[in-house]
Amino acid sequence: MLGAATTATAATPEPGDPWILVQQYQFAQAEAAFAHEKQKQLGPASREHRLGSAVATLNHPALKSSDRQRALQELDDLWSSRSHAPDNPGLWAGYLLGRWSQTFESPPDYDCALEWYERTANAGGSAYVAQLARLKAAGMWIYAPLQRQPTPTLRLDRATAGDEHITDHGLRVSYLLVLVDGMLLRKADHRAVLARLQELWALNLSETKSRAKTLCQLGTLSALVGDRESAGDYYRQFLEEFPTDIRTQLVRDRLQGLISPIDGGQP
Amino acid sequence: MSQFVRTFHRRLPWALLMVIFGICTVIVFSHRPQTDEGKIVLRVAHLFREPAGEAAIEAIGRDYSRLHPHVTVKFLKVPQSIFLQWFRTQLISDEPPDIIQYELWHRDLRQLVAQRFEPITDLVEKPNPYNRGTSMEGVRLRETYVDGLQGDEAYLPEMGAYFGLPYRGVTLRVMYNRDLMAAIKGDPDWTPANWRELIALCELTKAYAKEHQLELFPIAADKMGIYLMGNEASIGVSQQLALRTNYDYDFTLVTPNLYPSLRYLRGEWDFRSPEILAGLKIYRDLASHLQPGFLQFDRSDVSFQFLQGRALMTIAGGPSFSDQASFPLGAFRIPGLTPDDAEYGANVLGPYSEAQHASTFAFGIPRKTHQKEVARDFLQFLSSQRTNEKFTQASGEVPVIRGVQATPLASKFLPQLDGYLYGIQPRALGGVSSRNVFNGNLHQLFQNEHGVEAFVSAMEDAGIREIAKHDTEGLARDYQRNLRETDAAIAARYFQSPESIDGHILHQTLFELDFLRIVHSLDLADHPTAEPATP
Repeated sequence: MLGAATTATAATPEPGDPWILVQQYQFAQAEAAFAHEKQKQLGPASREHRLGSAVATLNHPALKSSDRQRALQELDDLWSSRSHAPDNPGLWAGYLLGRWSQTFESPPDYDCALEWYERTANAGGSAYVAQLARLKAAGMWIYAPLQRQPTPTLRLDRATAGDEHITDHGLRVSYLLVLVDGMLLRKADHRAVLARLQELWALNLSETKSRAKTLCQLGTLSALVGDRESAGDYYRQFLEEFPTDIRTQLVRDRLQGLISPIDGGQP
Repeated sequence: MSQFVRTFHRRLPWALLMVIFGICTVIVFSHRPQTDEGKIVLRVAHLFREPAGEAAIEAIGRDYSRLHPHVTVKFLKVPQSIFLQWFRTQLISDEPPDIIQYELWHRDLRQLVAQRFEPITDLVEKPNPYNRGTSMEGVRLRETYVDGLQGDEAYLPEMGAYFGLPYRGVTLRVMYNRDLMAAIKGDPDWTPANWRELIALCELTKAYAKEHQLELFPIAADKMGIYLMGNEASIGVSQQLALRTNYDYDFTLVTPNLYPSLRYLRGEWDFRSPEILAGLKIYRDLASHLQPGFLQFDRSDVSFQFLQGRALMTIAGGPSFSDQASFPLGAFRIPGLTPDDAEYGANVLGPYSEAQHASTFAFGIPRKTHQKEVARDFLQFLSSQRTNEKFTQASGEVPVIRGVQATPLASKFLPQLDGYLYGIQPRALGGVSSRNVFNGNLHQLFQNEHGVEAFVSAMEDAGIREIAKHDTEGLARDYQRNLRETDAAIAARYFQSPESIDGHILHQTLFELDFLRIVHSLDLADHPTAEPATP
């Protein structure tokens, strides 16, 4: 509840901080702020600054072709000149070049995006952005139309290759959400999907909607592999945590055996 | 056509734009933040049109100021006709209102809320302090809502976060003339228990009109009315189809427009699927009980006919007409199909849950507000049980908070949460262009003896598959734009405040999952056999 001492103080961040302006999607202002900071510095701009400036430029609402080329070249230079020691700006540059191929280009070049993600992942070891690149590479392997037209099995194999390197908690949760969806889409073995779901569940999923969905999936997959006891436990937990959810009637029916365990999506 | 008329027509769109711009300008400049007398001025934009609703929300502002004398709440009523333009203007300005009420009927609105509103997930996941001493004390705010805040104006699945608190309960109900129901069925409280009974009531009404030589129709509805009623009535008949194509076993159609479209592109249903044909037949059966020429009517014509006693029933999204009708009103939920229905039962799970479409008019906080803390506190005050009770009683609106007493008529509009998932509605396919083709050909469904075939053929001849694909490609580009902006924000967060990055990554992942599903589905639509069938 609001205290009487609350004043009209603005919660706005310090104006002019370029990274904060980027967070607020004010890319034109951010680009100007990066340029302003560069002018204040005596030496050459830091690698982080160069990265930020390129990011702001590429998202500028009125991006000119020449500016786009300059910004992409900057990212490429940052990537090429990265040091052997952990070099976050250099690794982020590689990752963002992959994102450029996936999210800016029309039509997107998914093969190129995948290549950049894998390069970044391989170069970055345990760095956060290298793990992030592995997450995005998994998405490409599972869903994207790739020139090499991999089989569903190869797609899932490649999406999981090296996934032990994704150790950051938040990234691991995201990775498993993508992987489980992909495995179900690609009709992977139910036991294998269930194992991944259980791993996801053990990470204490806190986001409400993902939690509800995962409980439903755990219940159904448990039933499908014949573990009715666990299925019942998951369904009961779902009903307890989400009593007004749109799925409660179906979950209740399954719990009471009114609808037999589904097979291949068939009730 | 005279030169004057041609010039007038050519300049009309510009003139309209200028008028809208003028109105926006007046609204913006007449509501600049005021901080006189050292008080905080909280500016709240709302959409309530009816005088009772407007008066009720303003009274809530006064109550809040009494509780917090250092805060003055100023309300700004935004005409719905200019809402989209106004919304855009406000959100790119440096001084948007501190709280804005919105309806997400346009894709751009959704995008704007996702990008320019403050997530309030932390607020909805904890008890509302203004509920102390009520039956909702200690209950998480999300769970104090009648619908558990499951509506798509509160929670944006693509962002994995809550952004708004809805304030208007809205469910579709058949409203009826109780005097006529008493005359036709012998009981003003009689309501149909299932679809067959509704159709039988329509037949009985026609027989009654004929016997008494009355100009009376079973149902008064316009074009939108038949869409709404037809959708509601045909939802059940494709529930098993929706469940069968639910590859990830989450038992929902998470994004009602997107997911049916992706299943369509993947070839999991089309307009000749038995369930879709059955749904179209239901539309057609229903239309035979509407007043002739209903596709030409607008809402005011329909209201007039109903209020003149020329129809037993009409459809409404809230307790409308209550202050206009000269006869007593009743309301009931459009009765759904049941699994024991002889004709359609095999495709039906049962009545569907209304939890996902039970509320609208959400209040949210623009990111650029200078009064974030006060705005968050006011939202809690607004959504407390006592405040919603006061609003409900004063306005006659449907309550959104649990435990709030509804007026007798509004109580009929309370959402029924028990039920199953929605079926696949063909009108939800694609985007604007697909819907235009659907709407433009709908008359075929009602005009001749073989209306279902005529309509489906017309849709196919119009190239609905390509059009739906084109709409979805447009959607994919929107997703791309959103992803690149969130990429920039995530990079910025990593370098500026890495400790808070987790939530943003998760939100982007959930959003990107939909994008990846779109990409995959579009690829399958283009190359249905491109992917090897065997592992």
